[in-house]
Amino acid sequence: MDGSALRVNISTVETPREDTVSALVRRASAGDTRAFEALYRDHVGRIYGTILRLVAMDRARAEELTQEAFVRAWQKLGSFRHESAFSTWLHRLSVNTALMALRGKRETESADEEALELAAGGEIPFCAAERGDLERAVSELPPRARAVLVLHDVEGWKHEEISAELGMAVGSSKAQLHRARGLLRRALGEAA
Amino acid sequence: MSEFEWRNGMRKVGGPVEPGRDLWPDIAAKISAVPQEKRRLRLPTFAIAAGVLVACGAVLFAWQLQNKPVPQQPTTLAVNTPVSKRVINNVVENDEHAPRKVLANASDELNDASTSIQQALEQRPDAVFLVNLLNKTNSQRLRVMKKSYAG
Repeated sequence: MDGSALRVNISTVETPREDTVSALVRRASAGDTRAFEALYRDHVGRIYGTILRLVAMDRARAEELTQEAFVRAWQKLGSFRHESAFSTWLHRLSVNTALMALRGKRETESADEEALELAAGGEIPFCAAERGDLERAVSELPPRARAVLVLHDVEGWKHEEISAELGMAVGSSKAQLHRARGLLRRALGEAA
Repeated sequence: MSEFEWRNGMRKVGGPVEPGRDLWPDIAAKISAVPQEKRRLRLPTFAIAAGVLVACGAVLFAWQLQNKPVPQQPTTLAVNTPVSKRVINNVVENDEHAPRKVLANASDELNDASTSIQQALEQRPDAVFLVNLLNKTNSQRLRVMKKSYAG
């Protein structure tokens, strides 16, 4: 692919309207890789950001999973029904990809959650914490608590959505969030 | 700290993040080697729901199996899932090999459930709850397998 073609593609999706996105999705579903590249460039920041937070700021892992998510999206475009926004479908698919990887990792490494909780130490007050400090503290949360915190507080999901998607009771989702916030406060130096 | 202040603080963590390198060349190489799946007839929602119900029943039964000794004498078990009833009906009364049969049947049911969920995931790759269900089912399969070998 030459550079000029790439520049044209990027410029057409800088501020995509839903009908533009929909047209790109239809072209990509028909096998148009240029259209899919435009979709990738429009969505990669949000997808990579979400996966990065779910995998505890492991950049190499997040890059690998972002690639995997987009490859899966390419394969599964035929199952996208245009009933919801493409961005929502892609976001869910990406969260799914990351959660599957997290589950696999937890089984093989048998991470000790108590040890992870102890690792969440620090003396920085929340209000003064910089983005890097917050990201570090979030990344040190136990996997399940981190997933609920990221999906609820960062991605804006509701407890009902989290409980449905993660297969837990609404009360468990709230409990995990409460636990995650407590650990985060402690990590940032604020009494829970 | 109020909920508002907390959410305000958490906004610092959110938002798009650009990867350290352009991932597109790798993705382009991969998708050129991976064919797109053709649009298939969708499984009706009730079929996916049935698969999930079967899985839930199997998981519930396997859980009960782990927590209750299987009686040697005929008795009434307070189990209401269709899968559990089907499995238990297969147990021959007063059969000394009954526990082993129950485990084998539970294992079969869990395998079927796992396959059903994977098929549902093919149809709905964005359904996160199916991944969680699949993970739970696979964990139960592992436990039942271990119990079979131990017994």
